[in-house]
Amino acid sequence: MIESLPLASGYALRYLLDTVALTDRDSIVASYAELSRYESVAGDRNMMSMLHSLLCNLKDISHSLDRIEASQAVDDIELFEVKALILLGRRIASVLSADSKSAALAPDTGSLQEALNVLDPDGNGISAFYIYDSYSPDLAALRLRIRRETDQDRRASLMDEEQVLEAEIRERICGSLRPAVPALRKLQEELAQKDINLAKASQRLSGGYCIPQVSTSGITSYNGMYNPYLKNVIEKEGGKYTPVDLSFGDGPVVIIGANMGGKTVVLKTAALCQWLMGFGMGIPAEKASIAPRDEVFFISGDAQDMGAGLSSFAAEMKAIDEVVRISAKVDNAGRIAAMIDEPARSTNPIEGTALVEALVDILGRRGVALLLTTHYNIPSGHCTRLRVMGMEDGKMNYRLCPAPDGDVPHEALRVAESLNISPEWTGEAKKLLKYE
Amino acid sequence: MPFVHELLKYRSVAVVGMEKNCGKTECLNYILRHIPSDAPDICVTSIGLDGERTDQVTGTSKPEIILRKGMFFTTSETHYRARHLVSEIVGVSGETTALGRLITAKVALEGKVILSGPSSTVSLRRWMDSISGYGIGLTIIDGALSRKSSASPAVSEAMVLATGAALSCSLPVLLEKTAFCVEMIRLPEVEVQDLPQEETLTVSSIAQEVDIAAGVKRVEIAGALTDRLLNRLAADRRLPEIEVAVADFTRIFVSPENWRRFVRAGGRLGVHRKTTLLAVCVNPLAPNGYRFDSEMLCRTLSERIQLPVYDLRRQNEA
Repeated sequence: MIESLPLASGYALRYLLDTVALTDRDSIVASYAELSRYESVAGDRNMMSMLHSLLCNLKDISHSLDRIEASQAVDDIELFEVKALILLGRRIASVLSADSKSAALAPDTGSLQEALNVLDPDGNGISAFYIYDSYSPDLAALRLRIRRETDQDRRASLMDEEQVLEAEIRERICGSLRPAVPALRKLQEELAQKDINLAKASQRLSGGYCIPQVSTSGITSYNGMYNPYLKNVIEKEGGKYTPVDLSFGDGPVVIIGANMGGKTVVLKTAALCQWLMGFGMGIPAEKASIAPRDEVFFISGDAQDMGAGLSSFAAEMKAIDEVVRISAKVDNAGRIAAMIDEPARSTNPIEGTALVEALVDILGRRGVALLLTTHYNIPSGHCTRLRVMGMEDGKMNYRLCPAPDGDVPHEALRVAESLNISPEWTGEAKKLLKYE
Repeated sequence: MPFVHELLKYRSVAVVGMEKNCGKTECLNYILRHIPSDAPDICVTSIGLDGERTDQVTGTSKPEIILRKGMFFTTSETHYRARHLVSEIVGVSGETTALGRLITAKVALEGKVILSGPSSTVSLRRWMDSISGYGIGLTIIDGALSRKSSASPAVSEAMVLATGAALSCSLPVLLEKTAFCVEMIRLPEVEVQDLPQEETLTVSSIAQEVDIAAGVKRVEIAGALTDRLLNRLAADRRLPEIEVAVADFTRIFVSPENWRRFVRAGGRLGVHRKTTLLAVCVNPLAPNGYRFDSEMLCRTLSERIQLPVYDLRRQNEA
């Protein structure tokens, strides 16, 4: 989702990646309210194109600003970038102010007028900079002498003098710019935030993502939730993606069902949506009500780490144990969401079932918003069981439905057959299971 | 003024040296000095290359370019800071080279600067797009030493070739190498750019074998055309019936001997993008002190390639 954000500048991307995910309700609500202010602009193709081409020029000049603040010498390139930032702010303000529906979004660059006057002594208003003649009559006179000088040695010596004079003027300019540094930093950040908000609004509109309700009950629920990446891949191949409805957070939810039934995708998408809300981005669902969480764990796949001497089982156990330990320490474990994909899958089914059942019980007691997938038969005493609908007429139905107590679905052989696995193998397996 | 007025008919020209010390910088300075003051704004840069970076490491100096007031140039941050002229910065690229970002500036007070610009053909093309907003009428690219990538017709419309005694102190060898290079630059453009897929066969130099089916009319070379591939094509019985095509002359890495064998076997080679060769400049003096007779060198080479050849140092002295 971050990769597909149509950000204009690399700085905005770095700014976004350095941002901490929001966890409190008010900030999240405010962040979505701010996003909605940008939607009319994001829907205006001409204005977006203008803003995008301007914001492409936004750069991170924090180091130069630090140096100006610390009274260190800066060069023409750095001063050019300071001037370019102010002019960029003004141009963006002018584009946004041109339309009444976006005028309120225009950055205020009024406090930087004095800094601009320093960097643009001739009032040209263009993104260009050098130590202009108008900074000093002495400099202008010296340059005139250089122009007229025909002797190369004397010219070189005059050029050296000119460099010294330029350096003095540069120092003076830096002194004049110092008071404006906080406003320059603010403008740089504000422009990065505008780039991010425009990109988020544009992505939400083009992807048809929803703005979530921020749930206060601790329950997260989705109608028509989909994985945007997978949906795109499936639709490109001419297929149809099946969105799912899901609710969790009020006691552990255990998803059982056939292999290739999309259990892991549900888990991944639920984790993705939780993080997207933390960054105030559109949610890939028809409707969503999401409870904010302080910690989101997503534990999936083969976590084998040979370098650390951990087998896949050991690595997975340690990762899950972190959830167990952290949830024991915090005051409100309901602020933790854990999405765990087929825990203890790599051990024997008897101990595996016991480990998973115990995990569901412990995290359930503490109120952790647990969403877990498994092939083990976990009784519904302490959890809500959901099942992937499974194979129907030779096709997979990915929707989730309540699964009352009872054995887990036995669909591995049917799925294997649908994958055209060698009949010799599946046939013999069937005989062993006395299916035939 | 030889060929300088011709340059002004193009939007981009590369000055390319066949070898170090072939007088490429002298040629570039000559052009810059003789561009009329009422000509459209020009912007100059150089393609940064590995060899030149090595020179940076070993401390060997790069040739300096003399720029007049009003000219634009693009160079790296490192070389911009070391400039011996007064200039107004108009652009700082987001792209970073080994020597820092690329700075584009307009000269306010004439002087010298070391040019080290974009380091690849792709970034060179990006740079040309980026400077399009400054009202530049002509961009001049200081081509790479011993490399011809900046002369890629994909980037520049025309080129000036610099050759000289540095390439060889043997006149026949110098003539042969230069004439062969000129012959490749002048290869004809393919008659039809896009042929139906079933009539083309795309091969690369790493292909183990080339099998030209009956309906194929053109063999497209993906990437470089090497001696090995050219010999394979020359050995095919269908060669006289087909056309071989490369993107542009900079993709050709074949020896004159193999080229002639290919032509004798009835081979025809075309390019998709052709660059115009405006002139050839020579430096009769080799770094080891050997010197050709300038007038004789210009005349012999000119007769061989049927194009004006200039010794710019002699032009300056005259």
